[in-house]
Amino acid sequence: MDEVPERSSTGPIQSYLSVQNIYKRYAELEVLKGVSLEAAQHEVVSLIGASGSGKSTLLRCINLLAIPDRGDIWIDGVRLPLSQDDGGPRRIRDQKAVRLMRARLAMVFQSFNLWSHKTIIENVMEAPIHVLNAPKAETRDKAEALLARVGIADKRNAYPAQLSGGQQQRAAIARALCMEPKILLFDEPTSALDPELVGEVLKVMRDLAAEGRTMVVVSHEMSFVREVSNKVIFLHQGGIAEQGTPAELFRRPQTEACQKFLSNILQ
Amino acid sequence: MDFYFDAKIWASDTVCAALRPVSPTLFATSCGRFIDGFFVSIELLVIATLIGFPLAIGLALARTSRSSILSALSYSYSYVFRGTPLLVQLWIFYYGFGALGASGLGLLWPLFRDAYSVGLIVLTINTSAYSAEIIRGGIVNVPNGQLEAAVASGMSWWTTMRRIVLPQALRIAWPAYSNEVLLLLKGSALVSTITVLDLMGQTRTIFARSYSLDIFVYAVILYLILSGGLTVLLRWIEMRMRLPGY
Repeated sequence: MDEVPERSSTGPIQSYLSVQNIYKRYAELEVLKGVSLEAAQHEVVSLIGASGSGKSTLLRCINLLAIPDRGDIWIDGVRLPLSQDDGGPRRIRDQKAVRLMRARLAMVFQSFNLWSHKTIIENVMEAPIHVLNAPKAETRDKAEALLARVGIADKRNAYPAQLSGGQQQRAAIARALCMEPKILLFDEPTSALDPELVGEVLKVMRDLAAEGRTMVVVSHEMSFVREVSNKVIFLHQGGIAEQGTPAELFRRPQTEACQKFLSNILQ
Repeated sequence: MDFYFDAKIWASDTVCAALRPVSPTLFATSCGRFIDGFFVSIELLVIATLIGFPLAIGLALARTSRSSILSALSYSYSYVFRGTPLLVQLWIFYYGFGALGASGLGLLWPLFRDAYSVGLIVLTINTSAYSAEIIRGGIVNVPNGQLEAAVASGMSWWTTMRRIVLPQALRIAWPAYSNEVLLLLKGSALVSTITVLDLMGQTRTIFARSYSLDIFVYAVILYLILSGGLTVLLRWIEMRMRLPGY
């Protein structure tokens, strides 16, 4: 019975996403040292911090692209099925359950990672059809609508390499949305873009936040973070140094590390 | 299949008719055999490639899988069959295993009794071992982000391989694989040493009877025609797979 991902009454079901006391180390480097995070439905939580502070790793732990050494993750009342922490490397106990969960946690990557051998619309349709077994015609309609929504309907039959970075990232967002995700994970979505292309991606993300999508965002775009986030978490050396509403954190950072980070980045 | 046999007869008739005035003594008696050998070489190459290629994909997937047992088995296979001469493999399979006879080989005896099928088996094994390493190279060179996007969207290992990794890996590996197919064509001449009457086998037989060195010139021409056609075909496939924007 232990193998079934349980929907438990003891779980923190008030939170849509609950990350509890995550530790992660790569060889000698301890990247996360006991990080917890809660997000309610329709909330946007932003992770900020210097590079190497662990924010991307934390995001990648949420969909188990990185497997935390310790700690648990709950999504919509279901705990991700990881083996118990016994000192050794933890394993995914139930691959199928994790795949189902990942299908509902769409991730948008810094380097877009559109599948280079597929056209834009094929990229958007791929996972709904081959992971969720969605009907093809219906998925095509949905994909077309999403591409129109992010403003690249005319690129549907182009290949990723034929698009600008901003267009690729918008296509990647359409690909994520086509899975009808419970939570959207953004891993520095504008960091690989030329400055003049950042705006078009942020605009799409603003719209998503405005329509009440649950989002976890790693970003260096402070004005965007400040504007759309319900909660901002400042990570420093693998731990949460400070968190709060954007107003609290940006106006009155409490810790020296956060003050320094903000003054550096806002210059 | 009828088409294939018709093509053989047609080729035999036209080519032999055309060549008879050029080299009268030689082709009066041997032309039919010669063309026959040409087709045997094509058959060996086509069948060994068609079986060897999917086999190589399987071996490459095993090699790159997380299972250390599968990976080790695949590596051992490649190590043994890439690390020993094709000639030695042919002789061991034909003369070595053949010596075990019907009692030693049981149900496998019909396969090992026949030089043609032994030649085919060894060529298939050999090309799959080489191709597996080539395809493995393609797989490990698929950018990691492509895999991550697949895994993050909930794809299983097999779906990820089938839909995302292999289509890209084969594009990366194709030029090197084309080279391997050409090497296989030339390597296939070695089956003549275990009595298979392929193009080289027939050439040797005809030479042994006629002592006419012309026949080697004709063999060279036919091998060049084969490799030329093969190059064009492989290149055509490469162009068809090419993605816009690259």
